[in-house]
Amino acid sequence: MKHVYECSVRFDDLDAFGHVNNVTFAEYLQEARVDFAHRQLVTGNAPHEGVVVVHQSIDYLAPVPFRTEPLQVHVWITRIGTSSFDLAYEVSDTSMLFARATGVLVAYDVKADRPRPVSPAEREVLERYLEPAP
Amino acid sequence: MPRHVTLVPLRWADMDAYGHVNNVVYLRYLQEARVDMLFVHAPKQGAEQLAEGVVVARHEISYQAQLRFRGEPVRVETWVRRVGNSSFELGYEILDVDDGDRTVYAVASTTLVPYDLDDARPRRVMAEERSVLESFFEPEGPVPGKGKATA
Repeated sequence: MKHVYECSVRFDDLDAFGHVNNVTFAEYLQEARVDFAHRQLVTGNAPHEGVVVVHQSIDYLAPVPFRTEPLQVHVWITRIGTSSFDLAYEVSDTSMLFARATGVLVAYDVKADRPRPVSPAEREVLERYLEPAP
Repeated sequence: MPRHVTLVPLRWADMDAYGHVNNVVYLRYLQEARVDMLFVHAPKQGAEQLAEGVVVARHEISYQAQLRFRGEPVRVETWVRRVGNSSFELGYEILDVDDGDRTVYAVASTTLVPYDLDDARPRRVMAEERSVLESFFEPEGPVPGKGKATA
C-alpha cells in the first residue's frame, strides 16, 4: 500500500527559472512524509519518539511550472530495520512523473538525542506500506 | 585543486520542532553555495551562460551531524566531481573548520544540466564553462554514504 499526499503548488515555490525550485521538492517530500507519519505512524508515540532523516536522494525528471491542480506525492516503505527504515517517493500527477526519491530515516529519541529501536506498533504500520523500490 | 568556499549564515527559523536545522534547509545551504559558485563566481571567470539556465537533475545527501542555530555562518565547500558533454556533477561538504579540526554535518552531490530555458531543452557544456568547472576538479572527493544504517 502507498500513502498519497495531495500537494498544492504555491506561487512562491517557483524560482526565477519559472519552475518549482529543486529545494522545494524536498519540502513536498517532507510534507508527504509528515502527513504519513502523523496520520498513520506516530499516533501512539510519546512526543520525544521521533524520526530523523539520515540520507536522501532525489531524481528530477521533469520541471513543474505553476499549476492550480495539486500534485500527488506517493510515499511507501522499502526496508524496515531495527532502528531505521527506507522510504521511496514519487511526485506526479495523473499524466506525468516529475520526481523519484528515496530516504533513510532513523527512529530517534529526541530527548535523549540518540537513535531508538523501531517500536512494534510502528513496525506493524510500516509493514502495511512495504512495497518494492521503484 | 581548490574547493569553492561559501560561508552561509544560519537563520533561527532554519530549525524545526526538534530544535535542529531541518533536513530540507541543508539543501538550501547547498543551493546558496552552488549559486555563489556558478552564478556569481563562474561568470567573472568567463562562464556567463550558467546563470542563464542550469537545472538540477539529481541530489544525493547524507546527513552526518545535527546543526543548531548560532551566530557564526557554516562553511560549505564545493568542488567538481565530473564534467560530461551535457551535464556535470558537484560534490559538497557542509562543515565547520576549527583549528584544522573538521566537523562535517553533511556530504552531498548534485548532477546539473545546462538548460536552454527558451527552447526548454538541455544544451552542451561550453568550452569556457568546462575550463572554469575543471579549475575545481576533485574526482576523488568524499561522496554521500549509502546511508543504509547497519541496524
